[in-house]
Amino acid sequence: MTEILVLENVVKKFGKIVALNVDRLGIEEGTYNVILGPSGAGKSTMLRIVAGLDYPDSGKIFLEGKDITDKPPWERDIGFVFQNYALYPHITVYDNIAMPLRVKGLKEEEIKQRVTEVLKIMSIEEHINKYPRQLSGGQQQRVALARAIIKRPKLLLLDEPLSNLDAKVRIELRSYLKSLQRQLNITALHVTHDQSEAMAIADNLVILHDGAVEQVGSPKEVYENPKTTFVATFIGMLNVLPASAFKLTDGFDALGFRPENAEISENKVEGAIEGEVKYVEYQGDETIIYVDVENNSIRIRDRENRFFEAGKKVYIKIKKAFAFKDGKVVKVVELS
Amino acid sequence: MKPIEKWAGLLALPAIIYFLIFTVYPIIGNVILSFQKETFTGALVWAGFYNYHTILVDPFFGLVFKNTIFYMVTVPFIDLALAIPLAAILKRTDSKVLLLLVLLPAFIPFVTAAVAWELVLNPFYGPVYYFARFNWFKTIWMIVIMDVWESLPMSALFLYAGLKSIPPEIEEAAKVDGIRGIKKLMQVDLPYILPNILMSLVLAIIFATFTFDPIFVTQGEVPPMSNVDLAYYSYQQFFTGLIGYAAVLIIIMSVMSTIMSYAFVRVLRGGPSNRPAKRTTSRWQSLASKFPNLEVPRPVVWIVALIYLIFFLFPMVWIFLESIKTSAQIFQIPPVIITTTPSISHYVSAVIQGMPFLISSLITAVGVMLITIFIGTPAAFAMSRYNFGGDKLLIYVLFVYTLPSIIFMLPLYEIMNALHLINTFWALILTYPVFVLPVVIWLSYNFYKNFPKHVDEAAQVDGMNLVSAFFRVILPMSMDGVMIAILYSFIISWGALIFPLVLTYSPFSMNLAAPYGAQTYSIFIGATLGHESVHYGSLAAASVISLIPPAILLYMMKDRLERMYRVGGAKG
Repeated sequence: MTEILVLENVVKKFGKIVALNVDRLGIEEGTYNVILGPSGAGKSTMLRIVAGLDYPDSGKIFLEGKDITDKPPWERDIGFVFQNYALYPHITVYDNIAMPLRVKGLKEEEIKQRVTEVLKIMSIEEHINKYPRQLSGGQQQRVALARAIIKRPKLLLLDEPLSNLDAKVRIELRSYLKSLQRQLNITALHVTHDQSEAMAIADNLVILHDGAVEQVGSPKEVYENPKTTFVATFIGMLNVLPASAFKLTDGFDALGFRPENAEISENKVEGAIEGEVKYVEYQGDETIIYVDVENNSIRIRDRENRFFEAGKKVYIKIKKAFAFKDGKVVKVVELS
Repeated sequence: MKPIEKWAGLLALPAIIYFLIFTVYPIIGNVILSFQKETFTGALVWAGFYNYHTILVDPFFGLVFKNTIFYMVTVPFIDLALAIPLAAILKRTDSKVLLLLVLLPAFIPFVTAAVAWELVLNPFYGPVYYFARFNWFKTIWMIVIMDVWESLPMSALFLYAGLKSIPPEIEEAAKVDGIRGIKKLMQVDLPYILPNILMSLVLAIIFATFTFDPIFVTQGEVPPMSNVDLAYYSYQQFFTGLIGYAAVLIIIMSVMSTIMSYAFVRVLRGGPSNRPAKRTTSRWQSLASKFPNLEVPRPVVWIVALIYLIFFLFPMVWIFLESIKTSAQIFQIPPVIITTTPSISHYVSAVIQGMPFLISSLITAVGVMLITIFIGTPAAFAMSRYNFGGDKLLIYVLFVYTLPSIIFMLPLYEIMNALHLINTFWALILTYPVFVLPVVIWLSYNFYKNFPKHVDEAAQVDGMNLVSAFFRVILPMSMDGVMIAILYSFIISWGALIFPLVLTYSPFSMNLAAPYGAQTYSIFIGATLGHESVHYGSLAAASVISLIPPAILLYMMKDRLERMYRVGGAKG
């Protein structure tokens, strides 16, 4: 696999605030990459810099080995899907999708053939002569997607493409995005703040925090082996307890463990910690039990749907935990 | 420079070049001309301070300057005194019809207005003299009346837009405090819309100080020099060949207008100040609280509204009534009010005689419109979206916007003369943007402040460079908002008088293959039919015809008037 996109020492400031500060980030060809982070982490800034809609204060961007840092958007081979679709309201769906090809100066027959092809892939053929305002949000986003891929760009950039859609359409469209990317064998860079969306479609997650890349890796890797406290707490639910709760003092500040990595029982078990049940949340396929341990609230996932009275004394046996020191995960402890 | 800024510069480049040639050069050119004088062969030679010295020995200068100051002081304050009640009435009645009728004078060509008032006030056949027996015709007050009539609607519109922008919370707070009617207007509304008041005052001062059209129209019928101001006097000097002296007068006006323009820009660009309130603020509050806490009864409001309407509509109704009378009835005493034998003969002659002038005006207006679309809107977009030229360029545009067009007269004449374009359409099409372009840029600038940013980003990632993105996507999408600016440019071109007087001298030859002559319809009304003849019927008919395009524009703008003239929002 080769790296199609490389960011080197890219820094972008807005006033005094450092919005983005990336030492090095390489994106591999043909993969689906999701940039994930809380709001203000620099996700959109990164995408806009790759697109050429913003320019970095320093650093370089390479596309297929060529330096594109100073190139305007129209000289970069990219497709861009905007959060609010950004369709041209004054022209039809057909003309919207045909726009990038017309700009390239292709012949009308070829444009027609390619637009029809894309409309078919997107299954929006019946809307070809409508204006954008006559379409639903999901349909508009498909048109925006069609417009972005029609010129077969090297990179497909998606800026929170699903966040303006309702939950059902969002889930439907996200699996569609992934299958489309596979079908076209295109490299995608998708920005979102939605974890489950990111986990569901990414080949590769890029976790951003305060403008810096915290970790890059597959969803499984990032979930199971977070490198920093931020990543561990940001992805998935995590219980954090101070080291003192474990009587372990060999160089950790705290221990974190996921709700599914602990067992709860009413009987005292060797190596278990003691706590008091606050309340339980029945969710059908599982039950979340809220337990108070030395004034820290932790959550335990119970697949057996057992019920515990509030105030009951319970014992929690942790099977796998992350040991934190100075904001880093220094050790993954297997305790089973 | 970021790559995108270079492209933004490219969008603005034509406008920058235009401003350099047609506005920056003339401002410098005036200074050079003021040190030159014309020999009997027409050649310009160095004259040192000769022209400046002329001011001291010119027997008329004192009177002319006094008249100028007279207009500068009287018109704006009468305007303001009349505009405040009018704006309050417009808000109270909330009647769109009333608003449109009141605004009509602001949109019709000033030369038409002057002619209409001339027909109404003249002591020979005018109805006002016959019925009221007072003769303002020969006094300087006639010019004041015409100026107020033309500028009052705009002042009222600025104040009305301000009143309409008072947030409902403030209205409700006043209600809870039990402040109503006149007292609320004085104590709450007027302090709130202070920026609007200042804005309308500054614009009225600029307008009145450089009054030209009504003085031009009444020359020959009033005592010589009795109402002449600097603007008209400099034009007179130019026509008698004293170009150097005209330049000196123009420099005096430039200095005056620069001071006013500075005030204008300050008001327009200045946000709410952070300075502590002055003592005058609370003094005003205690003064205002003495006004009666009284809601004016509705019938009284409508009666006052009616008086305003009579003032605004009377001249227009009168020229319409004149235009359908027979020639004999026009000169009848006592005057015939409504004819029993309406005739369209005056319209026929106004169209037939006026055709060459109409064609010139239309071709010019359309040409200017195209220039402003293709030069003005891209520049406005680059300035608005990419902050091209920063505050400096924007302030320069606003500066030119407030300069009276008479200031550019001499150097533009020189340029057109050098290009052998005098008395052609080109002379007008190339020079009108001097006063049209700033308006179009300013209106479009504000429009693009609220234009969705993602549209031009989408265009860029679709492969369009900034220039092609503008013309392929942004301009077609902004037609709605830019249209108003464009139509506005049409109306200003339509009513222009000074430039065609200076740059043309004969009517269009009616031969498109060998076009020659380019006098406009405003000249047809103001000069050909005006004081050079007594064709009152044709004059009235021609004036009515000249009202048609502005009336159409005003109707099209009817739903956005408040928004366009909101001073607070103008900051973008």
